[in-house]
Amino acid sequence: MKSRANAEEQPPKPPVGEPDRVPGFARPFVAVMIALMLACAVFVWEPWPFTSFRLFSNLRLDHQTAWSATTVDRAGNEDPYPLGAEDHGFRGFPFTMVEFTSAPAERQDELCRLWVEAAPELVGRDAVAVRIYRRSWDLSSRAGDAALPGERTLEYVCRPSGVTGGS
Amino acid sequence: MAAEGRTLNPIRAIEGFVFAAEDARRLAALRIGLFGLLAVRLATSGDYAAVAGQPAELFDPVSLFHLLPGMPAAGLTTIVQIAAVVAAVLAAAGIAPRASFPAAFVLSVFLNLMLNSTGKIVHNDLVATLCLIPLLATPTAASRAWAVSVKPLRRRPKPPPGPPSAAYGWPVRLAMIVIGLAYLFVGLQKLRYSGLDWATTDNLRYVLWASSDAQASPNSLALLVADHDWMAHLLAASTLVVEVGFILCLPFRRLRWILVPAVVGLHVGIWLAMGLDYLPQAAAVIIVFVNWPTVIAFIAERAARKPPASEVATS
Repeated sequence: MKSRANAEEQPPKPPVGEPDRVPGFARPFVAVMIALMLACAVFVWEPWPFTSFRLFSNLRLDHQTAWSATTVDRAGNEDPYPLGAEDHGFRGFPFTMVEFTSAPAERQDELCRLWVEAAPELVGRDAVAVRIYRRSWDLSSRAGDAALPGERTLEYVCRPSGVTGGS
Repeated sequence: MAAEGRTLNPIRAIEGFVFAAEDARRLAALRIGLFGLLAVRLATSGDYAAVAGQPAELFDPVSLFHLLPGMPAAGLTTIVQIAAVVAAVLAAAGIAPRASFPAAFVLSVFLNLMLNSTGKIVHNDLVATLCLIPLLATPTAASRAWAVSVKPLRRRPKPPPGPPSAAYGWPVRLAMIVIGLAYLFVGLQKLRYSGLDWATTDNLRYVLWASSDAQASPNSLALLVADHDWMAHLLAASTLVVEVGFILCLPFRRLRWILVPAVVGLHVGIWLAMGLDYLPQAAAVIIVFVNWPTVIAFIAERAARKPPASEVATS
């Protein structure tokens, strides 16, 4: 009875929960996660969100090339066509062009038709053709804060019927 | 410098590091921070809407998106984005964690796969997403502390958190390993594909010039570094050292005081100079490596020591 009375006099202890246990799958889970990250890096796999972590891993060189496009209307007027614009373009235009340059004719025609037909939606004007230019320049050749524009060469002309070479 | 898991056996050393006891609140801080970050990113990004409904001719799927015929339509994307934000908010609050954790993760991966299916691998939210995976394995333990209790959903009151335990420690430690490996691989891939030329040539100058030229107006920070040869080489070499060396702050705690600010500074610098938004990765580093219960206890102690304003006024 005495011990019971003492117990009743003590202030109540704050409740403490049972500690959680490490689940049985924790070790294999950790091992698989680390192994997957390692394998993706070694074999350059990209099963997002796992990745090979190739960020800026290739050397950037002085000489640069890039692609740009223009629309041509019925009167022959040529206007910029920002196909790669983030807000109202097609994401990944530079990467599409990497594919385009080595793609078979059918695939080039498919992409060309798409770019011509998309002009009213993307830039609000009809186009009878889309011209694709390759620009090449040197980053170290600069005037003030910007690189000199370099050379622009017409490489492809896209029409609703398909692609033709620029020359 | 004290190394955790002092032993000659590397497997035991890793085990000792991973399965160390942590406070339940430390794991809860990861839940709140990482799912909160996810909710903010999902709610504020217009990128998903920008790629939704892109023509099938431009669909370049990665990962599980190979199962889809084309880019998801705008309507479906909006629904998924709203559902993902709601799930991430519930997960951050610790509400229905067994459902909200996987729902937030799966829906956010779906949205990010859309961005990755336009020809380029997008890394901006990748590390923060990888850090969520350990939480997926421990929804109950991660919601023991600092969780919102919604009474109609519970038959029994949620038990309070137990003492520090490896059950709370291993997801935190695995998230640390994920971040350490991420930086290690980023650094090693530079050495693998470019070697030391990455730092000893004009590589970084060209990167910064190209980035400045691509921006709407010249970027003075990028040009400041690019126009000074020595500065570009120093920054490039420092980047390699920090990326490859970051993993050392796992066993050597004191290095975290140097390397965590260093990588956060790296991401802030990249954002300012190049406009590339890797801030979610910087946020993930802070969320995972800062011991939040200790920080909160420190702030509370300082606040308790401070005399009330009335006392100061009358003394």
